[in-house]
Amino acid sequence: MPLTPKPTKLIILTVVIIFLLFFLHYTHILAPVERLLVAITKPILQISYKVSNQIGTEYLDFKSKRELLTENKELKDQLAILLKEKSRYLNENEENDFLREQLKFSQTMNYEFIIANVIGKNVAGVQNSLLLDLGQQDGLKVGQPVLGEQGVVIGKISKVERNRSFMTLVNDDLSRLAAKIQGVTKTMGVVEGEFGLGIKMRLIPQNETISEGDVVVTSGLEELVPANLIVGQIEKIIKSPEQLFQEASIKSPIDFNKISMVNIIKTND
Amino acid sequence: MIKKFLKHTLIITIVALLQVAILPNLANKLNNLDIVLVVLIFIAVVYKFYFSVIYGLILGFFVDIYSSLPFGVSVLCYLLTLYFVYLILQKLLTNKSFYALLGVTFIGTLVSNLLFYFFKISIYFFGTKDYLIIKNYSIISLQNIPWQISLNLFFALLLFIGFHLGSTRFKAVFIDTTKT
Repeated sequence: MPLTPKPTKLIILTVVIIFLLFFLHYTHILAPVERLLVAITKPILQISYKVSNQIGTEYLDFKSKRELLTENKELKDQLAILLKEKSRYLNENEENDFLREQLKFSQTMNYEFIIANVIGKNVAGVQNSLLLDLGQQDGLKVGQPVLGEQGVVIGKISKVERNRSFMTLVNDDLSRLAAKIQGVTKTMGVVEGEFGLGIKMRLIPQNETISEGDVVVTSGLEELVPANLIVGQIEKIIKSPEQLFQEASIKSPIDFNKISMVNIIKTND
Repeated sequence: MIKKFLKHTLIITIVALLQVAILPNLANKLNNLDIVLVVLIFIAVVYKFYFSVIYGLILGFFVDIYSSLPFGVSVLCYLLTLYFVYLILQKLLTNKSFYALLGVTFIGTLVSNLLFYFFKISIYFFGTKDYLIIKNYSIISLQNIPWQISLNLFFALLLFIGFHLGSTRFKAVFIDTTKT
């Protein structure tokens, strides 16, 4: 194998370059170069993301027939609308309080929605995160909730840079979301992801009565996440007498593989 | 000189874009393919090792910019894998044959997985201290390794066939047993 520079020299040179890269990156000296590279590749990434998403959809169409997909999409849309309706119905008794809270909330926090495009998916292993085209300069902050279609929570902002950001999906294993089950009991728990395979609500006290079909919403315990945003619906309850807490599998009406645009609740200081 | 520079820039751009923009969106298990790694190993085996190091630095840097892992993890993993591949080629698979290419691709994929796994586990451990996450991540990673090996080997095969048919430069690669 040809190795023009001597191996030891090459190794030393590589180590020096890597350390230099580290140093320049973490001291932000390299930031203009990185930003330039991101700015150049952003449109290409956006187009290729859309194209590959389109190809993925075409592939699915071919595989499981167009009619089934259309029907499935319609049913999902209906399910999302029904979930919203159910959520509104269940919330009727607390409507006055809720509206007052909302009014107070919007007055004190003054939040608004901003729309971001998804320009890529995570390239590092099994983590489920998406790359958004907006960043710090657009008002994005770590911890802000990200909503998909019909206002369903799909994740939170996990890393913010000047003009782009990463969001971690709720089905990622590192995702944590304070949630409650909507209804009379307002059971509290934590919604966690399962390596992109599903969503679970953990830490539900054993004595709480929950049932399949219950709607899970955000509890509002997190600083940047307002209460009553829909997360999903309980699909299965996992309960064993020797455990302190019970768990529930949650089904989200959102297809996490086909997210191209998201809403972020913007918080103004 | 300019022609060569443009050629390498084009190759790096295509590989980087494929890895960052196309692969993560592929369906099923196809997103386990690591084009950057296969290209680096391929260059190390059939071309020049120091070329693969330069490619590794540039491609690793690009992947790092688009990775949610801390900056530097990808470039470090790719280069450590490359040096491991170099040692294998020097000590064990000393000929530049097709089988050597497949062999080092196989070993390189394993080593790269191990390195990425180590860094990811460290991040999980320092971030959450949740052993259940580490256990679950380990299970998923183990399940993905056979897929990545198969896909990487298949891509290495395609690269080999492509270069073997397209260029006379690599005609001797299949049977060349000399070490340059």
